[in-house]
Amino acid sequence: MSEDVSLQAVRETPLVEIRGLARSFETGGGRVDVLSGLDLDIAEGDRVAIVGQSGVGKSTFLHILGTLDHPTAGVVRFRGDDVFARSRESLSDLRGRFLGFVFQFHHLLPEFTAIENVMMPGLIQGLSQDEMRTRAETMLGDVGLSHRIEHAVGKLSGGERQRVAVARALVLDPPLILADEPTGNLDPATGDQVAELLFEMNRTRGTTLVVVTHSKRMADQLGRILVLNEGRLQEGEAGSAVV
Amino acid sequence: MMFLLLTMIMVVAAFVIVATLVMMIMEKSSDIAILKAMGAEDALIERIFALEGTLIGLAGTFLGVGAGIAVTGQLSWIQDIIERVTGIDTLPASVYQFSELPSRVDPTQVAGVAAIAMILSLGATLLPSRQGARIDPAAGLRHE
Repeated sequence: MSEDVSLQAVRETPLVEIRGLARSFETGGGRVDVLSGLDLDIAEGDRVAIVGQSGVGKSTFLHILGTLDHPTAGVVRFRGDDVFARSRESLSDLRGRFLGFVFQFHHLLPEFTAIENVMMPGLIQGLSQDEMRTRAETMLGDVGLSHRIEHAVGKLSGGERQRVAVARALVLDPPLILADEPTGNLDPATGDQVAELLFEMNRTRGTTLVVVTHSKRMADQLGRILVLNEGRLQEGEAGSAVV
Repeated sequence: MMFLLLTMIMVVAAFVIVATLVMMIMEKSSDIAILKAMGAEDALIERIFALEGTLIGLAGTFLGVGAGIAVTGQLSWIQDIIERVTGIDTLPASVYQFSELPSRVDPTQVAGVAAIAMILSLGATLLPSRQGARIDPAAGLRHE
């Protein structure tokens, strides 16, 4: 009975819980409050679009959610665990196992081939070369790049690079994908392909998606739209995206 | 005296390693940020740059020792070539009491110089490697 209650509690715990999140920067002209008193719950399997005008702090919010930046105040919990109470090493481990990142500019490592880039997260986690090669080949196949696995990333097109970046983000099957304008640098057709890859992973693996986007179309497809304005997030409706 | 001069030259070379690594780390700040986003710990980043600096130091030491021994062994031949090409008597008998440069390869001194070169180059990698490991990933991504 107590086990049932505990399982129920786990199910009801949001994947991400944010309370009173604030981030300010000291500049030459004084303090700039980018995020102030922000609260948010994200459930497992959610598809969240973060929209808002340029410079309102969408990327800053995503960086904090990805533990790449620290908040000035507030709490971020992943499955109930206060992430910023962790040590630097423990945060690195969390990023490796829990999070996948997709950026506007693919950020692939240019010295390596497509498959080596996709293998990298696993190698950092100490998984074997053989295991990671198998996983990376499968993942690159899933994103339609089986024929490009040994190509240097410099030889790939923009859309192919972004698909490699998506494969890299998904190769360890993280529960949460954070994407910062993943289609912002692509033509509409290629952008749709990349977006569909993310949606497919959400449907088949239950991967939670948090996507910063300026694309109204992508925001509408994601479903849950959050508008960031003056440091706070508000639930928006379809069509809230700022293009 | 010669040992002191060589050590000073090696100190300058060590600063070149420091400058090279600092430049490399600045250029690679977004790659460092990505590695951190993928879960790389500070210690891993530090090891990568320390290894790179050590390889630069090792290559420099081997090349330097090899070139030094080769030049020392062929000093008379090199002097002869210079004199033939320039037409200048580099060691005129009216000034010097010897007609060619005296030289001797002392294995102990060679080993000592190589060891100091390695120690200095290893030391030179520590500070930049630590600096690279402490790069704030969000800043590394913003600067791209």
